[in-house]
Amino acid sequence: MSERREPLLSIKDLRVTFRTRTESVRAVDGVSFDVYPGETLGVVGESGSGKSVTMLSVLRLIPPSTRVVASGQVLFGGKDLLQASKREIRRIRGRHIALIPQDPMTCLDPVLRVGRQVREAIQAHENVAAAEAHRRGVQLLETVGIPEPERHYAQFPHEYSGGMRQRAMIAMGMANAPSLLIADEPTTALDVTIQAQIMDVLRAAQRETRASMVLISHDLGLIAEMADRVVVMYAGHVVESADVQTIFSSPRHPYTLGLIGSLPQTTGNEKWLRPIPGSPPDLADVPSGCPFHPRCFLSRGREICRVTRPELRSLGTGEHRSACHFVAELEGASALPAGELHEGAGR
Amino acid sequence: MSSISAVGEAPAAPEATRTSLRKLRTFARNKGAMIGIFILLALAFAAIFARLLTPYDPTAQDLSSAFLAPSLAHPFGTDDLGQDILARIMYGGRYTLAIGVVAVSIAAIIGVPLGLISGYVGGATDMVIQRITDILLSFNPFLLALVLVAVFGVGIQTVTIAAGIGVIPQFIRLARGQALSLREEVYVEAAIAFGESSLAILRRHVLRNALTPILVYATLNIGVTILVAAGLGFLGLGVQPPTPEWGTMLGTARSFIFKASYQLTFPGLTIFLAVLSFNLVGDGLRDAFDPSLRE
Repeated sequence: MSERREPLLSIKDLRVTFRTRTESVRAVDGVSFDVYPGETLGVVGESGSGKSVTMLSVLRLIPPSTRVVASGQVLFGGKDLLQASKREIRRIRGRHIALIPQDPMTCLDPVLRVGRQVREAIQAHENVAAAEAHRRGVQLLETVGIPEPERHYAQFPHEYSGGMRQRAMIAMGMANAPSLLIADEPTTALDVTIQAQIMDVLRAAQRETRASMVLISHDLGLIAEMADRVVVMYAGHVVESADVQTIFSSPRHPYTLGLIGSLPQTTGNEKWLRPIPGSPPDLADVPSGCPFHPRCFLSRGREICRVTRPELRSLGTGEHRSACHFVAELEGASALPAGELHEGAGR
Repeated sequence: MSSISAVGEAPAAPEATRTSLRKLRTFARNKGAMIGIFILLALAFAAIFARLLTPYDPTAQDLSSAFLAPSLAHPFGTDDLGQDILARIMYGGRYTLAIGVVAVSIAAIIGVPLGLISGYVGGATDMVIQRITDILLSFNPFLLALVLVAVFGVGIQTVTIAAGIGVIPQFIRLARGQALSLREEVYVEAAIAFGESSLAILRRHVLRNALTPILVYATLNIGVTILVAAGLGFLGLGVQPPTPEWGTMLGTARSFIFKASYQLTFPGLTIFLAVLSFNLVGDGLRDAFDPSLRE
């Protein structure tokens, strides 16, 4: 991971603020990370941690208005996407960066045949004749493992199951061989038995197009299986980033530790799940200093956690970064027995 | 939704096919709508096959048989020029029904795109289109048509266009509302994320999904445009005699209301039945296909 490569996508100090009449919600607060060619980057965090908003901002799918303010830089192919014209950003959407949305049940238009929608994904960026687009559409459906692609090509979305719809969305995502696929919780809406199949399809799609992938998820198991590197987000901040082995073997942020600790154990001697105490902060009222300090077992009421926001600092080993004042105290921490993690967290 | 995903990879049941069948059945069970359809079909049949159904020429004057009360030879009587009223009503259906349908089509063709753009694009575009709509809406459709006819002159084309313009704002409002809600749909957002142009999204996704309520609304508005056209005819500003348009017939006959009231009764009843039927059918379609539009 340490060889110097040109990042494909570089997010620099991204801030996204939603304004309402009475308050201002900072959903993304100074997020920076890179996505390298060919890799799979997992973005992990609880609901409301800003992971989806970050990736939607990359494609400018949260339209800037008086109510939404985005600042920072999103560099892709040497261009700042936040400054790109509407025309430029439209050429990038689907063509160079494709988003595979979260809920496959609602993302296909119910009145149009699936094949037509796949065909349109192709024709949105390429001037191809209908017959040629049809042929490629059927081929795409076959690639994503839809049986009898020719027949299903002519069907309506309501004739598809959830898994098939997600496959169709992936087909549309890879239609133009983009260099970056963003999968926003691609399996949350699906049955567990289908999840593994869909992840296989995503992996195949990535292999086929040699694309990078950003996988947004709160499912650590999925991340462990799919990702090369992981970015952990909390309350609109990146709190830790490292390659996937490091994150799971030696996490260096109490929040990451808590996330891993809260996974169900399959060894059988654990009776209860170990949740992180408390709940994610209200983004309109993020705690001062380190946003995680009220829930942190490590802080123990120390003043610096309440007062100063920790910077995301390199830990010296490769690309491992953490934003914790007391990262030194986590030295040697590994997949800790979850019980120890939460001692003293009740205060 | 989740119940479908639980089915796994097996294709979901064709629920939409079943729901559209159910909607058709709801519509077919609606007595009012069925009566309306029956009357409309009868009127259309009479208009189309008028030549076969009546021996009289609707514009042939025969002053020797003027002011004849209804009889077997002239079931609806004859008018002041000796023209057979039944024949005139049958042939007149060609004009009145056509004016209604064409006027609403004009209104929909102009109003729907404006409304869709207004709702989908929003911002200043929306503002401008909506203020123009407000101005149009502040006139009663009949009054608006009256002004237009006064400016552009009488005649079947002018009347049709004028009656159509009167209901344009209704279509703008309806289409705008549809676009406002449809642009929040995930599949529209997905289409944006795939880089489709706004025009393509409007045409393929928004218009297609807004079509059902628009068709329902169009049916309801045919009645309105028929009334406007007939009203203009009554005032002598519509289709000109001797063309047998129902409103025009009413207008000519009103001078003889005490002498030969049947001359008004039959065209009046026909207008009433036609408008009522379009409303019944429109209501039935609305209840079956788009219950959310019910007030």
